[in-house]
Amino acid sequence: MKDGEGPIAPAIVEQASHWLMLSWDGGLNAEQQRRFELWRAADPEHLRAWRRLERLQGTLAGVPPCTARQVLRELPDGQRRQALRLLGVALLIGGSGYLLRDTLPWREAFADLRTGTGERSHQLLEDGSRLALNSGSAVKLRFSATERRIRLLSGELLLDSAPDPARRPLLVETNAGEIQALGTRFVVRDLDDGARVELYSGLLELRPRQTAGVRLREGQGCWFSANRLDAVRRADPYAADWSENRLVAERTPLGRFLVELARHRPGILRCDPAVASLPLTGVFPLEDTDRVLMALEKSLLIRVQRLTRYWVTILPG
Amino acid sequence: MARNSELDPLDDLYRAHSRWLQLWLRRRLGDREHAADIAQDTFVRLLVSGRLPSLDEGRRHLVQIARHLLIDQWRRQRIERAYLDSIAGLPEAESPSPETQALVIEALLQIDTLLAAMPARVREAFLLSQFEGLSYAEIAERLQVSVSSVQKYMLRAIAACYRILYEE
Repeated sequence: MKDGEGPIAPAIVEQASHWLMLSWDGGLNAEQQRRFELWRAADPEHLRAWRRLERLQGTLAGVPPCTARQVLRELPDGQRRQALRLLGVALLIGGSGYLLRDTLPWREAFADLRTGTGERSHQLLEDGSRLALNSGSAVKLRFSATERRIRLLSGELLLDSAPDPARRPLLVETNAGEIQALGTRFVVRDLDDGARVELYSGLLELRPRQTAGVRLREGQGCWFSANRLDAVRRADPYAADWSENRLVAERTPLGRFLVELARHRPGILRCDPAVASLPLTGVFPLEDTDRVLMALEKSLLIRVQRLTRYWVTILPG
Repeated sequence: MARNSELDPLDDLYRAHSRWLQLWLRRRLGDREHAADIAQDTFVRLLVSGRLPSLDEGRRHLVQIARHLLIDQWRRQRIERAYLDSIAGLPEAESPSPETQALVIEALLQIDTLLAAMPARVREAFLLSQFEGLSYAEIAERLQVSVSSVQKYMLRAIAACYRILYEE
């Protein structure tokens, strides 16, 4: 961003900066304004320096303040170093190469394992258990001499537990409470208001932080929060299909399907209410969500409108 | 047959390292097409820079450029997504046009670059002043420092911006 006229003496840049700094504190008062105008008129170089700083103000003004506040939150220098470090680490399967989540709330910055939007991963834990993470998830692993603890910070995991020679209890912790697993295969999803659990084999004990818990048997599922436990119901047979890179619909309303699909792609995916209740049936591979959208266009009376790659709306066809 | 002498050294570098670079990228990205794109962009950057490394420095230099491209791309994606999230809830009538969106994203990228050049406290003061509209007295209160410290932070912020905009 050069004005092509050569450098300006540092002393003059300092003076101009000083005026800019003062003006940013609620504006210049009458006396300051007078002195500023005298300074600016005193030398063409003063004006040139001031013009350059005005361009900086132009850049800052190019973004509405509330957008800037939301988008440009604290950017710890650690993020840049972390990006450099991660470029040296093999990528987890799935996704297209973006390793970090869009934003990193402070607690997730300390996650041991994390997936970005559209990424799914499989990890073998030190006790032989298999942990799969869905798109946009973060966990902390705390295996100690007395327990095997997995803290689900956000997102969704599928755990195939292995028996531990040291017989340590296996625990998954969420904001809502703790889940103890006994020889199991189960899914835990962290939701804003609680956690949802689907048990496919073995036994689970759910322990909400502030209310009585319950035991789940194979084939059962449940939602709970810190102080509430919903009724135990049948487990959703498709809730673990993401771990095999699939999304299954069985007369699923299109709107609900798109909400799930949206988890696996960056940007916004919207659905016109007029088509949101169209029933959808099929098995959709998650590796390429754009292909899934094209498939939807072929099988339903809808149209996919792409304003940008990241702004897609499903409309009546 | 006339040979363009500027292209030959780049040609040699390309033949010597391009496949290696693509493999290097593919191991990190897991995606063949993405790796090919970045490898291509890396050589373009090299050509545009006008400063070609020697054949044996070539790999280190290429990797450096590729890393920067990846980080920039990651930055851009991150900002684009965060921006789209921030306007997602707006009603149709208030939703910015695609042209406006593109301009705002460019501005956000520039500001992001400026912010990254500032130490944490300076950045904090700058954000509070420019995007929360606080006076220096209010910022001083918030950061538990004196008003003259805030003025010094702001001067450092302006200096950092000026360096990036006009001296690099």
